[in-house]
Amino acid sequence: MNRSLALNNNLKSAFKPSLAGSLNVVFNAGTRFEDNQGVANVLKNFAFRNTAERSSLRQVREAEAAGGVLYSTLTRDNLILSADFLPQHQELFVQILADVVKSTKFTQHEYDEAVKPALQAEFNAAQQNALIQAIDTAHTIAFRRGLGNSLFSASEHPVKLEDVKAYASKVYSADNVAFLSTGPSDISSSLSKYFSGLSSTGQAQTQKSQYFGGEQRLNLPHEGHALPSAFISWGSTSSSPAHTVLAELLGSGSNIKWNKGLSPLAAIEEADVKAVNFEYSDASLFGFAVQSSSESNVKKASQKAVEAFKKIAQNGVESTQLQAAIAKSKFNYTLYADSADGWKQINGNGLINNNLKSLDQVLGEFDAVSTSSIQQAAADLLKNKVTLVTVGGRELPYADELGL
Amino acid sequence: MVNPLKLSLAPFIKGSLRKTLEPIGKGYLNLAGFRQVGLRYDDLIQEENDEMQKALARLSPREEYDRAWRLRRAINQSILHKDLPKEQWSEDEASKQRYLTDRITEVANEHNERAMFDNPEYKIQTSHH
Repeated sequence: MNRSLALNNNLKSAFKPSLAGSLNVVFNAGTRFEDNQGVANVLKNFAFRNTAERSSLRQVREAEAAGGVLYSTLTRDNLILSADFLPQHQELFVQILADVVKSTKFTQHEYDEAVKPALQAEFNAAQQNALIQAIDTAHTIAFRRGLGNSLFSASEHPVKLEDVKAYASKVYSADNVAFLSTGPSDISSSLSKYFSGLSSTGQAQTQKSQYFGGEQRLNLPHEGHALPSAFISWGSTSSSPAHTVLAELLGSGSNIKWNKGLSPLAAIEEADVKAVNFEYSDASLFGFAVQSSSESNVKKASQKAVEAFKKIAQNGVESTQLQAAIAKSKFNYTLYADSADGWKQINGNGLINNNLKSLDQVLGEFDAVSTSSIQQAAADLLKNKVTLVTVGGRELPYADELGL
Repeated sequence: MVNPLKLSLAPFIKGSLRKTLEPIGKGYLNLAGFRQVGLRYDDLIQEENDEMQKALARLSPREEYDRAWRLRRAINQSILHKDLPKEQWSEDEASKQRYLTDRITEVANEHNERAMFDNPEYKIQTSHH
């Protein structure tokens, strides 16, 4: 595949050929870089609002007329402003993105009238999903400040407009950004024309992640259809491909429809249990998401999941199982790297922080996972204090009931 | 489109013409009588319409409080058939008298822009400035 990763006029950029055009402006401005609680969350929702050049309405209507999409994404590491468009309308969409970065007005009335309701809607949607809540809270108690900052904290904490403005002028900087474009022709070299006025205030700084762990019990929202859930996890500040393989080995869900698969977690009948591994730039969180309609079943399933995990740490794994898990990890990673989402997340982060890995390099690391290294990784994770978040009533398990 | 500010020739009066007419304007401000009960010019704009309501919603809490205070004080003075002592008359400066004008114009522009975009006959502009 013909990809280019380049530095044009000091702007880090990458290009991938494709039929539809897209530009993703990735900033090191995720929640972990927040200096005041909630500012990243607000800034994400201030994307595509009134700018000096175009009103919010104009951006939306012009994008609709040209048949494109404008959206912003917030993760713990990054804030991403994206536009997907037909190649002939590239000029318009690149201009809109440049306007947003360079001249958003940040007016108080727009904050009150449009941004705050958007934040509230985002928060309400997250509240309806017990697992989103559990995983978000698990990050907070696992890593506390920095990487642990909640993705939805703006609704719990009043955020001042001045703080958002200050955050924007700090993170919307030339040293803190990567441009990832796709389309029929490479537009990287013309980007400096649009984004030339960006200040160079240096790269955003955050504290190094540290793992703590702990326990938290949340209530199930009364409205909606959320199920009692538990998220049992172990953090690590030395992330390793073995963690991803471990999640696949234990069972991260079947690739076949109407079939649970043959993994140890799929054999648990009481509840829906999936192993997940969240990778960040300097840490990772490995865990089990457990969900069932009954609280006592969540407890039983959690105990069984922990038992299956401990079995790997104690007895190791068979090499055929390991090979299948490695193959699945490699497949999932390749599929993700190829998707629009993976393309911007992986490369954006890698470019800004100068630690971009090639696909072969990552796949090679998966191949290098051995039966002994995976057993060691499982044992190392289990040595850490567990992070348990339950969403529901009193029948859900406490950490000391997991059988650790 | 007519906004809550109604039609006005003021934007066209500039330069030396403005200088000649300014004393007449000042005289009118004093004759109209609202200054004497502590009201500002923009307190008199009819507020029973969507645009004005939206503009009023954009006042800061302090401005909102002051506006309500001025209106209540003016009603009280009207009942008493008395003017306020001169030091309590509303300010002379245009910016204070017209404290809402910018916000009304802003809201009116937003409405006009929406009306324009709701009309399907528009062209995609790749560079409009």
